[in-house]
Amino acid sequence: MGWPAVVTSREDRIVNGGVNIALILVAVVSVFPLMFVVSASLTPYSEILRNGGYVVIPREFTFDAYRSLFAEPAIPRALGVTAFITIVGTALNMVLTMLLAYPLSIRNLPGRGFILFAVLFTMLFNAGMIPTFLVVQATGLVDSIWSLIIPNAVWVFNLLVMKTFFERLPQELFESARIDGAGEFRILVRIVLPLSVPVLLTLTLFYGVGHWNEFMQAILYIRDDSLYPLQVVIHNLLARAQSSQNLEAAVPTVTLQMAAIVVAAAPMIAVYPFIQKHFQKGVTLGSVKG
Amino acid sequence: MTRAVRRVPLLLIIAAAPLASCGSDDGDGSGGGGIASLRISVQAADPVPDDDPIKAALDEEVGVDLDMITTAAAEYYTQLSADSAAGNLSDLFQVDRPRLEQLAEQGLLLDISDYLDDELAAYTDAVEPDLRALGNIDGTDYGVVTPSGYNYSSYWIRKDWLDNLGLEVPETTDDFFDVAVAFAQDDPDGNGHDDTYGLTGGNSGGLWNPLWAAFGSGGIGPAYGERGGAFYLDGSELVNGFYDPDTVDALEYFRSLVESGAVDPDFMTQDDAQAQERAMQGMAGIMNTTWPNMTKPEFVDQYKTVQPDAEWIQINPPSGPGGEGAYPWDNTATRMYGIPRTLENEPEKLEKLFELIAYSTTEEGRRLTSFGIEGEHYNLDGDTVVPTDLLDSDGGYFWIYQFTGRDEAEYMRVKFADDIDVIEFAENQPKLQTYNSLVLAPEGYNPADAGRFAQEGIIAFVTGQRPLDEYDAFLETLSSQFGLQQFVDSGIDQLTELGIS
Repeated sequence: MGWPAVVTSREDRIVNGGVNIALILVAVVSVFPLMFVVSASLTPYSEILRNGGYVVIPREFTFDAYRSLFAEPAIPRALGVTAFITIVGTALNMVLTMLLAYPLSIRNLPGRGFILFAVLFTMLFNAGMIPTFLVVQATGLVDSIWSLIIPNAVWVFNLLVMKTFFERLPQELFESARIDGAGEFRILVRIVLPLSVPVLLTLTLFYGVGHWNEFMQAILYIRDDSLYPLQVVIHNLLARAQSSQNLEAAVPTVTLQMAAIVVAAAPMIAVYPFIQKHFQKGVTLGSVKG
Repeated sequence: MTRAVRRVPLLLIIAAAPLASCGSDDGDGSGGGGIASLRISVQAADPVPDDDPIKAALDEEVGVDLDMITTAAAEYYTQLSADSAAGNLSDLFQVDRPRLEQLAEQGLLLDISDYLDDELAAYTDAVEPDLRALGNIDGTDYGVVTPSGYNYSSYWIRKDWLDNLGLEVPETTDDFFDVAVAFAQDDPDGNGHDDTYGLTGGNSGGLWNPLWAAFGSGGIGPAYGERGGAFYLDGSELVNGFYDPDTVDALEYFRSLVESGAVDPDFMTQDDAQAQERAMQGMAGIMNTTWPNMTKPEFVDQYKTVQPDAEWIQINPPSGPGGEGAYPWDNTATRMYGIPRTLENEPEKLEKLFELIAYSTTEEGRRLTSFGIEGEHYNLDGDTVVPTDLLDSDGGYFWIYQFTGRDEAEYMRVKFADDIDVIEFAENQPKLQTYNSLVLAPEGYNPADAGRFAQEGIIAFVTGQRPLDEYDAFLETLSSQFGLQQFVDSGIDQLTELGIS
């Protein structure tokens, strides 16, 4: 926009340098707490005590905390529950979201306005905790693992992102496919989806993280503690550390608490870098018009 | 297009119909085969194992199928609200007094008055009428009350620091002041650094607890008056700590301690666990804490690693111008259970529930819910319970079955034999009876707003940000604008009605 092409003056370099330093500082500040958590979980407990509770770069490593964490029967089981709701839940979310987003992206769909309104309405006016609980209960889902999957099977926000993405695909492709005799399902599977990898990955991540972090719904809908997902079990573990009147239960050490946090957070952190490239594209493309 | 639009809602309804009808019969809780299933909700973060021997034993003894639901404190009442809205309350559920009142007003609770002399006679015998007042709303009994246990709190002080500085155990508030200041200024650990404080504590305000009484006040309750002050008897008169002139003297003393630099400056912001950690790391020499915090192996290891010379001992609260120090002690601040009214329609289930409660008051039931299974978790030597290692490793959650309490003395002797001295020391601390748990907020009083204003005001006085001359002005605002007067008047009426005077 009228700027000279690639002239870098001294001033520019100073500004760039300043920006870089500022960003590095921000990165350090963001990474530091995470690093502290990871270090604390890997340091022998006695080492932590000797250092006043704070170790940033441990001199000795031990996996004891992780070993004793997984020795609690509740943790592996909860990991299983969480893995199930994350995998099955996300798969179901994606299928349902696609099946609703594609037809809604077709402009001359009969009744489109009404359906869109009905969908949006639930995003703006949500029923609230108790009425939703009543519906879940009436549907017989209370105390079932499906109560963590079905009530939020489609997130309206994600649906809109996907719909907008589909709308921006070149319509000519669909038209020519129709002329060649392709049905809507074939168009969706063969043309729309292969062109929509960024948005599909992004929304998979959104849904996946949502399920992985499942907490409040589990508290409300699940009573059988063998069905508790990971976050609830870890929360209980840490809650035990805080009740000072508790006579009996051993209070988890700092290392154990930190190990629990790593176990809860690591899988999602590990996934991000692989999806990040698509993630940026997906979010911006989807949201420009939405 | 318009025709199509009209058809859509119809389609939606048709599509939704089968969903709504399926499964609505589920979850009524009564198991097949004639054995009543009892669902019980308690506030607990402890995991209950799948093959729970206590459940098995109770099931067999009473002839029920127990379903224990444990939820951590922070989420417990969210679940309870959902359950009560859905008409799906557990057959026995833990509840506090404000919510008991609410559920009673909504007509959701079983009136247990008629059962007290009959099916619940064992409970009535085991729990004193004073305590049962907690479960009584407007003259009707609803709650099944669990008696509270021992007092666990006392001041703990670094004996080695006292010795290093040639000081005696403080016995008066003046001694206490001097020791705290010496701990902060005279380098009690001899490391040549100014890195210690006298007194530490968390934002619950527990560090001052036993000192109020030394000035003749009963204090203003936890967290600097957040809950509207303590109700107690001053002589024979029921008062609220905010309106007791002695409270100002106590505040003056706290302020002077803070001003002297003897108090950990983070005492209002850190939580109790953080304060404890600081003390363990040798940053402070006096704290008010519970004995489990000082005797559990994980904590002992902690301070022995960092401060190998540390020798913590318990001391009695110092006495002051108002008499001896004492711990504000609300013996009705304890667990309580409600029963849903719908159980009236299931007399067999109700019968079983009463049997369960009665059984938990028997000696056999108490043993089971305290020490587990004979031969596995403990052995009997004559009449004495001798615990096995299994009780130590597996017995951590048994207390969730102690619906009507336990024999605390025996419990402590059996389970914490090594610590019995510190346990009895804490239990024998002087106590000042307070009655807050019995007081319900009158309509129109906003406890959250009043509590916050009170807390901020008191903290400003203790830290010296606001001079104590302004206490009357502060109290005036709190009384009129925030309705504390109304709360206190109503509280005193309620307590008088319960026969406390």
